[in-house]
Order: sequence, then structure tokens, then C-alpha cells
Amino acid sequence: MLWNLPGIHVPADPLYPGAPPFLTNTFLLTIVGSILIIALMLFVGRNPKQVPGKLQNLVEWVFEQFLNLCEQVAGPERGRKFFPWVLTIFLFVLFANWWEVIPGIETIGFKSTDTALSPACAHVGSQGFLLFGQYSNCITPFFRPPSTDLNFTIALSIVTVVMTQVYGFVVLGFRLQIGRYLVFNQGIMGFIVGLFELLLEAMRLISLSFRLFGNLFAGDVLLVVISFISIGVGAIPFYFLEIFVGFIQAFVFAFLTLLFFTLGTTPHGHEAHEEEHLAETAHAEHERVASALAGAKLEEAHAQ
Amino acid sequence: MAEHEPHNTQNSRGGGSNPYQGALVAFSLVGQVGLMISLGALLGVFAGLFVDSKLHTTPIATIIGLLLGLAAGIYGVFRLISTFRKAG
Repeated sequence: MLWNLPGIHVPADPLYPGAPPFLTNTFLLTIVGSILIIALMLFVGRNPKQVPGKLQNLVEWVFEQFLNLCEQVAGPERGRKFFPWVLTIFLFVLFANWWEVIPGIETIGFKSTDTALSPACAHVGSQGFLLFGQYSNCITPFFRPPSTDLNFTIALSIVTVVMTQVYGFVVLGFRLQIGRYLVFNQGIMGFIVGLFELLLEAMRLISLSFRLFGNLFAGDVLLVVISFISIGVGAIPFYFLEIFVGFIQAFVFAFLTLLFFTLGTTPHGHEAHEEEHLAETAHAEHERVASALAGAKLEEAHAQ
Repeated sequence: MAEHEPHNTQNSRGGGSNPYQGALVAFSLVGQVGLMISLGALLGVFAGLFVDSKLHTTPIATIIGLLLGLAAGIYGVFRLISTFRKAG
């Protein structure tokens, strides 16, 4: 056989044998991705031109689209407050997702003597720089896309859920924010709705983290398996698919973050009813004035 | 009347919402709706199983947990969509 199917396993690998638990190959690309984003923004923002070049134009367009989205969903005031957070998450997740289509990621690494990958791996030390045949999968890669590590996605989701609470406390205040979960003055239904709100926070955390991880890990496995069965050539269309999926999932994560922030800072129950009541009153008043004006005009016409 | 009125009154930057953005937003919402209902039921069942194993009341707490979880999922979907409708 020309090569073996590469080892597919969920946990990230240590960066080097004996590395501390946090120092994994996904962690390395997380740091590299962050540095790239910071460098890109510094490069574009350092010397902005009145007539923007291609890169500045692209960055400005992305900023504009997300600012519009934030203002449409959360309103102008809150939208501008959430915008930096939402766009940062989008760019961070986008960079984390798109690593997987770069050649060399997950295929270059140090030789692994783990016999779980292949029995021949025990003797991989005697092989040269390139590994073929039964030794071909005896590799622990230097780099692995961060989004294929559950630690990355769960950490990002925890940050999002915690920030939802922070924004809730800042915008609504302590009493309203706590009153969202502990409802004692609206009977048993109010209490159950409070419990539902608590359960929703857990559901948000799980849905955000597992969606991103599931999509990206599945994409990663897809690329590996298709490359294995088609000598690499057959995987080319799937690389385009993964670029698309990476973008979509980054947008979904950022948009749901925005939606959760909006939900977390929107008063509901008593306050929402009050707002609706005010709107209804204003509408009724508007109609009353309009009909009075119409009546007055009619009378004027009769008089003439 | 102003001589040059903005073409797009939604925002002063003239970006507006494009159809691709609308499709992406819809895609996000559809995915979240499905996940919320299924996750609610799952969390409810696991909580019910845990309570049943502690109190030896199988399957009462599991059934109650499933129903409450489903209700929580539907409540979550309702809140998600209602906020989005207000915004849109």
C-alpha cells in the first residue's frame, strides 16, 4: 500500500513529547491566528488612505457589513457596543477555520512511535524525511486547525455566555438581570420560565461549541479520508467546500453571539409589556388625532 | 426639501443589508432552532435520568424532564425568533 489512513482522533496532540497539557498543536495555531489578525489590523489601520487600496477596501467592507448587521439586530446604540466583540469573534473563528485548507497543516510533524496508529510505527525512527507505505501515518502534526479542538470551541462559547451576562448586568442592572432567572412574584409559571432561562444559557453554550466543533472536525476528517482514497486529487473540490463551510460557521458563531447579546440585554416580562403598552397607546393617540383632523377638514368643506 | 436625499435611509454609510447577509442570517437561525429543540429535550432527559437514579422513581422524573426540556427548547426558539422579528 502506498500509504495508510492518517490517525483520526478527537483530542489535540502535544506540541512535542512531554509538553505541558495546554501546549498542543491547536494552541499553537490559535496563537499564530491571533498574531495574524492583530498584524493585519495594525497594517491596515496604521496608514489608512482616503482612496483605499484593495486590502483596506476589503477590511472596511467587512467592518461596514458587520456594523450594519449589529445595528439592525440590536439597534444603533447597543449595536455599536456589541460590534467590536462580534467582529473579533468572526475574524478569530474565520482564521481558526481556514487553517485546515492550507497544505502542510496536519501532514508535517515529528515521527510518532505510537503503535496505535500502525504497528510499524515502533520502527519509524529508522525512516528518512518522507514517510511512505506502512510508516506514512506515523506522524504527530506540528499544526492542527484550532476549531477541530473541542477545548477551543468550548472556551469561546464560555467567553460568549459570560459576556452575555456581563452585558446583561451593565445594560439592565443587577435587579433586572437576576430577576430574569429568579422569578418569585409571577406564580408557578413565572418560576418555571425563570428555570427555562437558566436552561437556555446551558443550551447556548452547548449549541455554540458543538456546532463549530462538529462542522470543522467533520470537514477535517472528510479532507483526510477523500485525500486518502483519491491520491489527493479528489479532495480539491472539498477544499472549496471547506472554505465555504469555514466562512459560514464563522458567521453563524458571530451572528448567534450578537443575537444572544441582544436577547441578554432586552428586558422581558414586565418591561416588555410596558413598552408594548406605550406603543399601543401612542398608536391609538395617533389614530384619534388623525380622525379628528379628518373630521375638521370635512366640516370645513361643508361650511364652504 | 434637501437637494440630495440619501438613497438608503437604513444607515448613513449606504451599506444597507444585502440578500447574501439575509440568507446567512436565515441559515444561522434555522440551525439554531433545530439545535435548541433537540438540546432542550436531551438536557431534560439527562436531568430526569439523574434524578431518577438518585430517588429511584424511574421513569417519572425522566418523563417530566423530557417534557420540561422540550418546553424549554420551544420557549428558547420563541424568544430567539421574537427578538429577531422585532429587530427585522
